[in-house]
Amino acid sequence: MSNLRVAKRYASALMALTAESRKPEAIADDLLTVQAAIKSSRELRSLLASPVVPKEKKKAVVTEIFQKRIGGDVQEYLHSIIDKRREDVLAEILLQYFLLRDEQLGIVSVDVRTAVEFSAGQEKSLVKQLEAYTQKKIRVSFSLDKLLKGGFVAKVGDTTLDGSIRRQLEILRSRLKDGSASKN
Amino acid sequence: MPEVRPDEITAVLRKQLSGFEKEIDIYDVGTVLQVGDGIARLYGLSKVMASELIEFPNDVFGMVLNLEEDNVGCILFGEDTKIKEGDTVKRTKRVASMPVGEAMLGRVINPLGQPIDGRGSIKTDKFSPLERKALGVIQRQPVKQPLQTGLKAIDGMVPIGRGQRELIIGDRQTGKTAVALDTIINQRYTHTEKAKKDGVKPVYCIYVAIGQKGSTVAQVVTKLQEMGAMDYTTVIFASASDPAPLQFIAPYAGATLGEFFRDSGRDVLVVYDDLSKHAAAYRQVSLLLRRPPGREAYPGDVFYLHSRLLERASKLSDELGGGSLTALPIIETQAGDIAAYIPTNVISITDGQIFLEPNLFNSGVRPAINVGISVSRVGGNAQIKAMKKVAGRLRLDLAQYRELEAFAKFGSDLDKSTQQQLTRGSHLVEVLKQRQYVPMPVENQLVMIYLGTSGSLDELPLQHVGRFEKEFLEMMEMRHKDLLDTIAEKKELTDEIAKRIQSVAKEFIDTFKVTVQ
Repeated sequence: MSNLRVAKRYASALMALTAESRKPEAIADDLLTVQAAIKSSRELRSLLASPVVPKEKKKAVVTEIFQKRIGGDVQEYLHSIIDKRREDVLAEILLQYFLLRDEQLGIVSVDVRTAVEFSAGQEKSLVKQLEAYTQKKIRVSFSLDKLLKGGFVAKVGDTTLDGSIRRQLEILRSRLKDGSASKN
Repeated sequence: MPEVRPDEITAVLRKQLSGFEKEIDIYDVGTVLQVGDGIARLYGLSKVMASELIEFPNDVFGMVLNLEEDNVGCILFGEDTKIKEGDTVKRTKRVASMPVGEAMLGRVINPLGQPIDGRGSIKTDKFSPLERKALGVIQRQPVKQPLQTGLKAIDGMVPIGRGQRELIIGDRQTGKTAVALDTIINQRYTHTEKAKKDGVKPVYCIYVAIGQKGSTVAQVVTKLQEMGAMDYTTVIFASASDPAPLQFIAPYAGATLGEFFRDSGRDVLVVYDDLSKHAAAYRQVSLLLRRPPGREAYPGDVFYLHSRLLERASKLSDELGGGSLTALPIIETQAGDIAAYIPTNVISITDGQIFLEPNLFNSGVRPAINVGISVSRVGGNAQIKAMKKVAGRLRLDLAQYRELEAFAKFGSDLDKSTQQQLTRGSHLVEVLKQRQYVPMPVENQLVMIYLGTSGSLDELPLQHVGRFEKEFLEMMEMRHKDLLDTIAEKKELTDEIAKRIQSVAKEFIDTFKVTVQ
């Protein structure tokens, strides 16, 4: 929990850095590369998390891996994080950074769970509807959830749009139980 | 056998389901990060309000208390074992509230308003928030009507007015609950025709038991039923085994229900038994939520905890219906230490206190009220005229008696006036004694206190004062009912009435003495 707080601080610093830079897109791309590398390599993760490895070693490794792949700004940022001994929260920092960036660019990511696989046309119309609802650009990820029985559930931030048959049945059950007309 | 046709069933079902439309349900959610000890920490729920009610799986509800940068801290009103990490939590978009209504009278409920007396659901259609801001100055008026406790010592010397907050404080086993129960039982007379004729409005009662044993509360409820007091009383009960959050909201639930009656122009009495356990429950919740501890590990806002509760006691202005909410908080002290943290807090909040002492209790002075440090800051305004007149002497006489009592222990050769003061004092102490569950109408109290302060009883042997009171009042009820009725109706003690009481008493004492010897 406290990691989250730390990560938010470093991520917002990184945002400020990006804003000052002349090539914000390039920095974002570089960070994406770093994130992918951390995600794919267990060895890199354990190296960053290890308190035994000295700073210099970590810096050397990071430089060697990323030297030809990312720009100088991001490399410097990584070094400074290692200097501050926060490299163990690097993954969290990057996550928070991309959340912040989405917020700045007006993009919301939406998780949609469906009972049956949607066709491309259905997906397109749903995205259109959601964009109209949120008034923002959206990034959607679809997944299958047979337990919903029918319909879909879209999660936009903390808000859930529940159009599943399961939810309808729940509401119906509570209505029959209370005998009242109130919903939810 | 009558036949049920399938199409009939279909029709009924269709009727039940009419108006049910398939539409998208929108709600805000969060996830449980951590749960245990009656509290939970949640991630998400970014738009949640402070003290909003939230819904967990398995019909457990919670209330948001902490809004932090990266999480939301909340208390649970159900078992925390039914919730696990990663569960989804839903907002209800309303602040924590409870159902209120007439149907609550005569019932035993938990702080959420659900019945726990096994007598079925309670039909109410109104919800009120648990935490409400107390009324301002404009909406109030001064406390001026008496709330009769039926105890001579209290109604005589520390009178309680409707809308007042009077603390009952004392060690364990000194009769704190007994005083409160007698007061509730005594309100039965306000629901009679006679009270209506005398211009006394009915008083509804709410007894809030916080952190008590189930058996104790069962006893209280049985006693109230026996005395016919449950008809106008609601018992709100958060037992010692209930989670601390429930104990924490219990007094607020009492105040909320009380406000419902008050706002409809009626008079209410709410007993909070007791606020020391309430403070302890709040301390537990606060520490678990990692709020910083202060003195005796209580959180910094423990004063506000009680002040905002007791500030809800009030006497409404006539424009708002003139209802009132009287609060009788109870505090248990440790070894008579009224200078401890919670006792001093509550003493400073309330409009006076009734201090009960174990020494007095054990020496047979019951109710064990220490007259010296018990006060009522509303005072004479909350007494009927006649009582004000009679009881003025009482306080003075008792004060002098206590002063002389210490001296009298050293020597026996005292002058006559001192001796007379001593007899007067000891007789007054005897007059103020009263058994439990026998509250006394104000006119009877008045007659007894009048006889005591006027010295008519001084010649009686001390041990017979109790029996005298019983027999004399029985005689009065039988032969001089008109006298008692006049006092109750006029609420004044004219010289003429006083003279008549004197002469009746003199006559009775003469015959009584004969039977004593």
